[in-house]
Amino acid sequence: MAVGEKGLRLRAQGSGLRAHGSRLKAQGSRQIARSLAALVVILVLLTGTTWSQRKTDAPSRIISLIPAVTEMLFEVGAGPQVVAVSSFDRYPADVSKLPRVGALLDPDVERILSLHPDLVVVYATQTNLREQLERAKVPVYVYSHAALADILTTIRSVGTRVGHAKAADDLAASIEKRIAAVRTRVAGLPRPRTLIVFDREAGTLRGIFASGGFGFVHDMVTAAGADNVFADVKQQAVQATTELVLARRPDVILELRGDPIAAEARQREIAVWQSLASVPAVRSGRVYLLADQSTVVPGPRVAQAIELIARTLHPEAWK
Amino acid sequence: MTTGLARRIALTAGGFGLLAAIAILTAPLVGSTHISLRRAFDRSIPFSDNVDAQIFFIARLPRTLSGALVGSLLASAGVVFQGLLRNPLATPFTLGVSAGAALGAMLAITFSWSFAWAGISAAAAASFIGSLAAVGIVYALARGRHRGLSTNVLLLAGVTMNAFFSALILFVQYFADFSQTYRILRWLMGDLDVSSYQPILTALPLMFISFAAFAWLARPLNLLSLGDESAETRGLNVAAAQRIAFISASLATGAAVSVGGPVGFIGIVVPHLVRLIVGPDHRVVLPASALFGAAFLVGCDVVARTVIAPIELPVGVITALIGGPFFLWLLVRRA
Amino acid sequence: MPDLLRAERIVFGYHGAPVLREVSMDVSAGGFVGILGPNGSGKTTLLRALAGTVRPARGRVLLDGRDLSSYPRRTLARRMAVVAQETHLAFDYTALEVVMMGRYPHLSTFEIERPGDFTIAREAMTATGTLALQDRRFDTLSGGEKQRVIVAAAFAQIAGAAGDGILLLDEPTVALDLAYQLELGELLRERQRVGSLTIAVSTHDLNFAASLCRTLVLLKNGQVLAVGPTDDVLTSPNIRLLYDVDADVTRHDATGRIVVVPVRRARAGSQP
Repeated sequence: MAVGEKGLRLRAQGSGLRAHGSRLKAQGSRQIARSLAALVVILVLLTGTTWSQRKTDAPSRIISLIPAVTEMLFEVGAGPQVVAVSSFDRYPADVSKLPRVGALLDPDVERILSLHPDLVVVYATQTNLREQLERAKVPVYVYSHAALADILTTIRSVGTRVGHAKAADDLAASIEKRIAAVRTRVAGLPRPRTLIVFDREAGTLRGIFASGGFGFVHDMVTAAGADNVFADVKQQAVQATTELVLARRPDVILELRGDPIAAEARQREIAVWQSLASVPAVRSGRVYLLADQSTVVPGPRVAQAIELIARTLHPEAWK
Repeated sequence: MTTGLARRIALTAGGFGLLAAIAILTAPLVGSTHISLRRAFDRSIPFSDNVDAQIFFIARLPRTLSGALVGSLLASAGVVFQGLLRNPLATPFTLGVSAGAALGAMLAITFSWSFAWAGISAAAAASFIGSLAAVGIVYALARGRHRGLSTNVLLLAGVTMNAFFSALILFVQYFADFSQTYRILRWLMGDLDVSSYQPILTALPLMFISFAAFAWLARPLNLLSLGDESAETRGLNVAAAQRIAFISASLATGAAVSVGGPVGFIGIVVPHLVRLIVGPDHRVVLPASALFGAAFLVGCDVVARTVIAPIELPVGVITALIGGPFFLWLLVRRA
Repeated sequence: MPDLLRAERIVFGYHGAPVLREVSMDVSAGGFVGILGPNGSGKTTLLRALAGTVRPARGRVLLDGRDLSSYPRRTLARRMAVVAQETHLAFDYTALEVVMMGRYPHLSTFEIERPGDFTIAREAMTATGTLALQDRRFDTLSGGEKQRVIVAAAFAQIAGAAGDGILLLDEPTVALDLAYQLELGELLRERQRVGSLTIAVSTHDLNFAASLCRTLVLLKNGQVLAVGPTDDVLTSPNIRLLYDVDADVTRHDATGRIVVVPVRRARAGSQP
């Protein structure tokens, strides 16, 4: 390879220099010293470049279209390598200074390519984008959305891909530990049947989207010591009509939002459920609205989210 | 056949009215959950304890009533638009009303407008305003130098509005996140689960106004089908009739869409079926369509919420599954 | 004879292109006026102006001395009916339903047709030989049958009109077979004899006009070329001016009617 060639040339240069030196012994030792110094510099440069070459196996210009993966990148120490994020990235605070390149439905390919990334994190379903990046010979990391266990797998896999395998492993392990701790704490406690609401129209009970028995939200709430009232529906989202909610009789209604909400707005939204008076959650006042980003992003803050949910559902276990 | 128009109107109204009544009375009895009617109507159990009663009176009955309301509004608006545009293939959505409504709802959902006034959600209010805006623009474009509304310009303006608003909708989509997009898509497919009587009560005055206008329009619509000039020489104030038809049918459509979203095919399947049964006289077709439309949508909604229980299909899917093949059959038949 | 319907110097144009330039004419009560002219002469527009469906930019149309636009639409429709050149229906009404629509001006807003209306409609259909078609769908009829149904509708519309009923026909012979042309002519003449009917026809069929109309208005490029009794107006020079055609105008001995035989295209610069 290049090193070998350089080595040969070096040897040739070296022997040439020696010959030159013996011919010019008369010219004096200073010339010999200068030549030897040049040789040393060349050698150092050579080894230096092989070192840095090994280091650039790890990507140094990463673009992430997935907020969860962005959080993972920053958490394992690859933050400085991130050059652009998606339009929906919010955390950590550093991303606010980074350029945005669109998201799932509208990735800005031109912008992405103009930033000369050496790794782009994309959704599995963004086939067009993947084709275009492939044509431009830009490496990609393909992300698929799934359950709680997959978050940990992804952390490890992403971490390895960006050259921070150790940090990723540590992070995953610590998350696992925290989750296990929560599970232990709520083990043996009664598990309330919980309606987990992703989204609905503000001010009314229309368009309620609840978590089905699939996906990381379902897993989070299960780990936090509750049973999903729609666990039998093998879909990530269920449109929960009024009749379904009344029929399933949840003991707890848990609304999860990513955006912060003002206090009176929160009270108003919780009060909207009052019309379903026969629902146990409404009767016992166990309607909760959590406005915390960690509960909606399947990323490294998931342990924090599970703790938050567990504390909300089982306050007595944290006394 | 030709004698006793009054009797024919009475008979068809009675027949379809009975159908509608049966639909409205039986729909709340059916659902994905089994409930005990006896318990539901047992006054001795306090309402807040009575799950069966809550399911009946909060979940199913408002839903049935909103289905009847939306169905009758869309079906009769369809008849009026077909008469106005002199085209049996026109629908309540041909002239851009639903595109305006969709844009309004989309804006409300994407930018999370959260005012809820008198039990009307932001999306419902915004969609109504959106439909009025679309209608206003189409009307202004179609008002000719001569007194009336040029039906050709109406059609062109309506189609243009549909395209323009669709472009705006795509643009707003850009700002929506995943769950918002999902909710918008669901809204577009129709949702009758109002869970309260408020939206129905709010839409009721609009229904009365539109139906009053439709009653007046019945005979003029017969005349309009002869052509503008022929109608004029038979004593019709064509410009006024066109204005009233356009505004009242748009109002009805806007009200229906704000309650249940843009449920497709009701506005064309029902009028056609009714005409096949009772003939083209609008004095019979209008009341029959209003009643049959109510029964039809309530029926579709029952199917939507029971066919793959406990999952519910959006009602627009059922109307499309019925309407699509029906429409195809119509086109083939006419060819 | 008093003037029933009168057009005074009406000017009208579509989008700036003038169609009628200061056209004046009148129709006497009980008269039978023919408006003759080539395509584009403004015949149909003039008829529309007389019917009130087109409002002149200048000038006015008077009915019984009053401005046409001052009459309420329904009142006008009870006295004046227009038979359009073509009628296209959007929906599948029966022939009888179409004729019954002629009775609408006689009904108040929510009133329903009475048995008397049906009688009138059926009589009108009998007169035009279309009673057998009453339950047939209008859009399945032939051109000629449709035309006769529309004429029946017009008769039903002005039946029993207080004062003279007025019938305006726009190119009525275009879709009709020869037999039906003659029948229509006979029908119109009969109706005039029996009741007090005033008729105005716009046509390019010279012989039809000659056989029926007692007065003619010759229209060319939106201007009146000549107006007056048929015998005086329908002359070879006028026909050459109107149609650029050399024609012989003779009288048919058996019927006493004027007959026009077109001979050849007029040569440029030929003398009358």
